[in-house]
Amino acid sequence: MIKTRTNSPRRTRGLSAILATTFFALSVLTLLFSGGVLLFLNVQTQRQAIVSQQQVIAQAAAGKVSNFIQEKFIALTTTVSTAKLDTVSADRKQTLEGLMSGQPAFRQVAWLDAQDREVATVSRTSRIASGRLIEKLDTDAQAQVRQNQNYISPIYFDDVSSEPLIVMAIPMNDAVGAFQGTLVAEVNLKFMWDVVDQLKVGETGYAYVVDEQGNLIAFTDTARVLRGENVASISKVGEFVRDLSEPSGAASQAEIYTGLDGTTIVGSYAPLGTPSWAVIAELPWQEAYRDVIQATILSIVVVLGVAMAASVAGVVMARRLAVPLVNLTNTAGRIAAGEMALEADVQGPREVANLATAFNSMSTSLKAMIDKEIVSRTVLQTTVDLYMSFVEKVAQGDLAQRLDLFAYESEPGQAEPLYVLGSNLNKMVSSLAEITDRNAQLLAETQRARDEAEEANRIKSQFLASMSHELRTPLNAILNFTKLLRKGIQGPVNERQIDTLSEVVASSQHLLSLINDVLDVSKIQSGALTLFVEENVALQDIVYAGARTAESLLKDKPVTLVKDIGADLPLILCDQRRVQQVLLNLLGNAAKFTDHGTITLSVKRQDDQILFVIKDTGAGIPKDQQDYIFEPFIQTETGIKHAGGTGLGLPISRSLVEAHGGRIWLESAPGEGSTFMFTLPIESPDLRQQFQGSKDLLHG
Amino acid sequence: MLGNIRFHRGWNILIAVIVTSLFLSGCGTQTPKVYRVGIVNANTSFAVIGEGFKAEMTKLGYTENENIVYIVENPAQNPDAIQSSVKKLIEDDKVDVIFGFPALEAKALYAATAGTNFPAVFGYGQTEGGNLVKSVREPGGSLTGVRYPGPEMMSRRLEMLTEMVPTVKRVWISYDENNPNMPASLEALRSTASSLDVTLVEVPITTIEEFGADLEARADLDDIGFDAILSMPDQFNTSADVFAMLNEFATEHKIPVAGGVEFQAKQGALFVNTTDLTNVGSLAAPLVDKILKGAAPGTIPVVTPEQRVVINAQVAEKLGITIPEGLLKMADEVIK
Repeated sequence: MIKTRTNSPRRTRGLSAILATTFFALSVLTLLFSGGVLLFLNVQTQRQAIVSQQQVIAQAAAGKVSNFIQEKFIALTTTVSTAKLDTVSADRKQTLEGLMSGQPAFRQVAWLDAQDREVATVSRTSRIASGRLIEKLDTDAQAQVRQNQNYISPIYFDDVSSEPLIVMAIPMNDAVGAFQGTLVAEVNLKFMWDVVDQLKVGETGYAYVVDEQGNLIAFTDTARVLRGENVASISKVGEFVRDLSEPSGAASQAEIYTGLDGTTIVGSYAPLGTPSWAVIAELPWQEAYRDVIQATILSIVVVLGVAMAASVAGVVMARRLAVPLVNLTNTAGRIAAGEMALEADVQGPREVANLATAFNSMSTSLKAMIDKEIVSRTVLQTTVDLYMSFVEKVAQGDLAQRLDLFAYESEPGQAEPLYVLGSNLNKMVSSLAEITDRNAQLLAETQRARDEAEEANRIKSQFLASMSHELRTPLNAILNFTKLLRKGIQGPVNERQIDTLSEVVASSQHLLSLINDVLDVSKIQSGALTLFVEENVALQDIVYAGARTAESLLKDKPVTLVKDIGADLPLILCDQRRVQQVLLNLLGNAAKFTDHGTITLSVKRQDDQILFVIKDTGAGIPKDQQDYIFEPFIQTETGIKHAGGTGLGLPISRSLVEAHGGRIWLESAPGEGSTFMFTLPIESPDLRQQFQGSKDLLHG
Repeated sequence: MLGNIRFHRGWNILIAVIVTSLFLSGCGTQTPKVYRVGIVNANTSFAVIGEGFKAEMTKLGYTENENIVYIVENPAQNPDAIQSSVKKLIEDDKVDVIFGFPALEAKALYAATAGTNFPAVFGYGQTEGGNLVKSVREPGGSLTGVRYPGPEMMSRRLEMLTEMVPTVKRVWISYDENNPNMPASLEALRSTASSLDVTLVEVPITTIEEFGADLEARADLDDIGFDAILSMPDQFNTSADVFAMLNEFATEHKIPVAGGVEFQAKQGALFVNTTDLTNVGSLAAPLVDKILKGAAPGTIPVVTPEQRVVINAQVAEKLGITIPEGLLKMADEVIK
């Protein structure tokens, strides 16, 4: 059982769409990949830089805050080391006043003896308002100091001014290290707030300080500090509080989290060490990743831009490729529908153009085959019809019936005999095969007759050429001897004899000219005309020489020769004698047939050829005579009326021009004069070949 | 053929979004808002506070007549006039916030803004003993500002006076009994005087004319009844004319004057403990800035200015007073 597979109609995408989509996809994928890789690397680099930068910022901020605290401890320690511990009360007070004068952040300082009794105190504010310092140093603090450790109290706020305060205390030991008392200072942390306020974290970032419980102790928004806000829930603060058991001393890794102001930030903390506080630096992520964001946006814009450009390029290329194909398809469809004369436009890329050319070639062949088939079928059918009619009539007893010549038009206006059958009943034709044989015989006879005619024509031309040559030789002798006689070289001649001899010279020259023309025509017709091609021929010389000749012919006529010779005439490749012959012929004709007015000679370069124009104001040539004036031995009626002329000048000129690869023609109307024009190529491969032949001839 | 290729609808939307985005990215500029800030100051001795305020506002990015306009009111020094100025600023001038200083102006601001959301900032307003704010940490209401640290300054002034001149046991004070700063300052001063075993010779007055009457009455007595004069925080004591009269009396009787305004140190006071008025203005500017940026005044803590001590060593020498070295070291300025 033979299985048949049926292809169901499938919706297919157009070439244009495929190309545009492919271009877009390729460009976007490539850009996305390369852009993505670059972006990823950029993000990694930026991220690392941001992390490092945040750590540096946090560390620097912590350094400043730590410096503030350490500076206070140093001031206290320096005072202790320089103070006389066993001095009197007044000196102690003076020592404390000295300490206070250099430390504006110290609100009050106190000197406690070994029994923790306040023996001297100095306050920047009213002691009544600020309270006694000793009351701010609890038992644990005193014990810590006795153990030779510095002490820092938790932050607290002044009842009246709400200023943030801490108490710092250091032991006062004598030279042998025995505890002699405590130096206590109440420090106004507003000065530290100023330090934190001035910390720069990028352009929009901020820093704040937390204590070991995560309480906010310094921040620009003092209200939050004064509220005693605990911010341990913030990622980095919590991390600091948790890490206190194993402090690293270094700034933490920067991370993205919700910061103190409730926005997403990149933050890092740096511990102070002593006290156990930390500075947290937070930078809004938009600022931290500004460069990355800008690079990302730029990449997206570039990808989209290039993708759009690629799509447009895809569409344009698709147009270039698809349009010729679509046109070809449409043409094929129309030819299939019967418009056999159509041809596809050859356009588009080379391969597509080749396809169109091949298609046209195929189409032409197909058309020829179809035409031939149609003719064959028509001829066959007609022949059969005729034959059957003939047979039928013969069968009916019409023995006088003839089968006439049947012809068909192979081309418009050109009839060719196909079948010539029996001319009477006695030559009964019995089959189509006989018709075909007879026809072939007839065609062969026709061909043979044509060959014979052509051979006869060639022999005639050869004869004329030979005869002309044979005539010219004695004629030249006659001419030369006559001229010698006229000059009196062989004896004196009188005026009457001179006139007679002049008539002989003129007649001989005319006869020689006639023979030359006949000779040329003969050569032309026998295909023996050859050019003597030279290179670098200066046309201006030829043209001006021709003009001078024309002017001599016009000297007795009221006719002006106007010359319009191009200044940029190039050197050309030609047989300059023949070109001059053509030019003289046309100028001579113009001079001959113009009785008054002007003759204009124009020679101009036109692209890669030279255009010669000879325009006269003569009688003009009727249209019906224009068709044959280039035929040999045929003259116009005006030409016939004028004495002289053989009717060979124009045919020769045409042959010479065409032999150069040029063209000659005329425009004329009766009463409006005539304009003869001919062109010559500046250079052509054929002339170049002839030039080579001429050169070889010259050099043997 | 282009005509046969139709962009998918999604493409059209994408292209439209890109083009629109690019277009809009160049159209993002907006005219900056010009803020209107009212300033009320009746006692022009404190005008420097306004100057400090404007200077700090400039540092914060506000340029006058570009993004900020100041409408300044200098009414007479009486509550009604000040109240009218505040009302004008709110209702007629449509200001965004008012900054008023010192005490009477602060009180007028409180009266005008109490129970409303209209924001105001006071300068040199005394928070103790009054009802300007709920607390300095969380002022509440629509008022915050720079505190006048009157009570502790008065206590400290008396302490410093007794440290410099331990023989001082009777101190003459005359004050406007209607000044809102006075009750808290008096309370602190009396407490300090008691702890220092000093007697305050108090002369409460209500008009500036009364100020000199008590001194005149004492001028010819063998014992004028006090050892020193202590300047109080009211508009009479801070007046240059009044201080000239005080200084003349003190010089004549060779007694020290403890001043409360910086010019007094240069004009004959033994010392002054005060605050830097320019700093008061500077401290008020960030508060106004926060309010203009949307913060509620009631959530902005009241701030306290730093105190400043100026000692006139020439006066001390004339009076035969030896200033303790420690006090000289701690002084912000010593006039020699």
